[in-house]
Amino acid sequence: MLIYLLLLRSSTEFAVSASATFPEGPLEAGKEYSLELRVKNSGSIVRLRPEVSARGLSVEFPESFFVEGEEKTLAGRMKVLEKGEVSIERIALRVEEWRGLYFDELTLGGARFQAYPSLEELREEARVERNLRLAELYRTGRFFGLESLDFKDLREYQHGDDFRRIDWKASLRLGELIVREFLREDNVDVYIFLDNTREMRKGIKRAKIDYGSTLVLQLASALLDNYNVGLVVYDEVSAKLLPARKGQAQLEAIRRSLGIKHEEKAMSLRFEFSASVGSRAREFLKKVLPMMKGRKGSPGIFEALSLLKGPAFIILITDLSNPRNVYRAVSEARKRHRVLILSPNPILFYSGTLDEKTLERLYKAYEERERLIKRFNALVPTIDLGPSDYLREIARVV
Amino acid sequence: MIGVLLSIIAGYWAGTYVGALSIVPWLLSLKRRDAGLVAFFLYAIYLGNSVQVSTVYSYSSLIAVLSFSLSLIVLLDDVLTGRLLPRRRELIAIPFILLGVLFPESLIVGGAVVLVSRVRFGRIAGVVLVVTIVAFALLRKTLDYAGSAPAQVAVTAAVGVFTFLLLLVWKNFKKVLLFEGQ
Repeated sequence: MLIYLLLLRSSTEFAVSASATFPEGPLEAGKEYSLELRVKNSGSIVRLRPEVSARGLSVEFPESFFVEGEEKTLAGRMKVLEKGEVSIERIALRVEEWRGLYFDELTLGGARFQAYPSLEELREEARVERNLRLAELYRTGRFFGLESLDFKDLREYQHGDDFRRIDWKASLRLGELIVREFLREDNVDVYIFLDNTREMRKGIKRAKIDYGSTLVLQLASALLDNYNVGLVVYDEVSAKLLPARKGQAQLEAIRRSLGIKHEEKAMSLRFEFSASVGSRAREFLKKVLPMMKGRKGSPGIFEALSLLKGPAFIILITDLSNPRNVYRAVSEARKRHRVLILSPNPILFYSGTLDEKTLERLYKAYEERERLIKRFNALVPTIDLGPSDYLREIARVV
Repeated sequence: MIGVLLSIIAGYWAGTYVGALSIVPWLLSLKRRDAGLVAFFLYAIYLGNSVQVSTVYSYSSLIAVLSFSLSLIVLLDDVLTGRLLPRRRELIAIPFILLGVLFPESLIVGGAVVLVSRVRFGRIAGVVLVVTIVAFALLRKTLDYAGSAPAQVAVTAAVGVFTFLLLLVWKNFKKVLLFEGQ
């Protein structure tokens, strides 16, 4: 028996060389890719078991036998689990002797990839998230201005209809509850404006811009079935326009222009309108100092608005950290376009440490913010959002 | 499977049914290798207890020793590889093994053919094997007497200890531990 073991040992020889081929280019979260492992066995018969340690990826390789002198390619599958930077740290090959008595290990280097967010993932997320607050807003009719004021029809009241639509005169006349229906606006271009100023990019764990990007994609994927959707990303000085179009290709284009990284910094949490100039004085100043690009106080949002040719429905995603400019821009835009502001609330995104002083500061900021939202709401519908709010309701309604 | 066949025929020549038990470790190894190994260990001990060999210097007992040890080794190999059917190269051995029912020598040839087709013979293992045979041949005068079994066991054990030491120091591979693999 010992001689048999000696025979086994003398016939065992580990001499395996391997190299890996990784998929090229940026990846998409949720998708599967194939990768290859080219292995050459110059030793005795072995069983090869690859084990991969990866971050944000799940990689699988099949087990395989290699006879003496065999060279073959193992095809593996790689699934991208999350967006952002993902990587294969290393591929450890466990080379086991045919009878499973001895083994050897071989390590190959890894690779880094950039992964785009996946639509399926976002839709899934949206399905799970329940946003009662937004549903409430929608039901009270303040939310999504897609119904025009043009009267279309009268019909019987159905469960879930808004009480304010009940036509009381008609109800009295007919003896049952009757509601008014309005025409829906269909051929309007929808432009999603994403604020990419510094304040939006700041955040310790997760910045508002990340949330904003997700929101843009969710809105776009829901709206693209019925509308031409465009995207405008603006920062302090400039703006970039993606013209409104329909179809899946547009969604892809929108997704590709959203590769924005956040900065690891604390937020400033300031919302006051800095200058208090009277309306008449402002009118005067406007005439004397016409708006010029590049001048302080004329940020990208104005340029962004100037990029739009015809009237459109604008969904503005901004944290209102520069309320004065946004207010001015929106009140100008309101004359030609319909505007809806979706505003990630910086206080709800606060992820630093909490002590008594910070709490006080946060509370003050919260009060300030409430006043600000009220003021904007008087202008256009403004919705305050927290990090767990997703617009499932929009998806359902549209 | 060949190991089971060899064990049954070797058992038949030794006049014992214990060889038929070899099917247990083999079947277990198909399910789980480590369980098969444990069963093989128990089987080997039980077999050693039920077969009596007094000397290697008589022809019939030498045949019995060789056929049992070869069948044990092939069975162990079957358990380790966990194979259901023999490979094509091993089929050459089947007629020899079946003939072993009539001539026990043929059984040894069959077992040797199976081993040769499965394991590559290295130089050191060959040397150890030759040293064992030569040692028994040279020591025939000293060892061949009535009741010499303990002395023969001592020589075999000496070779065994040498081989074991060789296994400890030669080609140091990482070992797969029992109940940890798979």
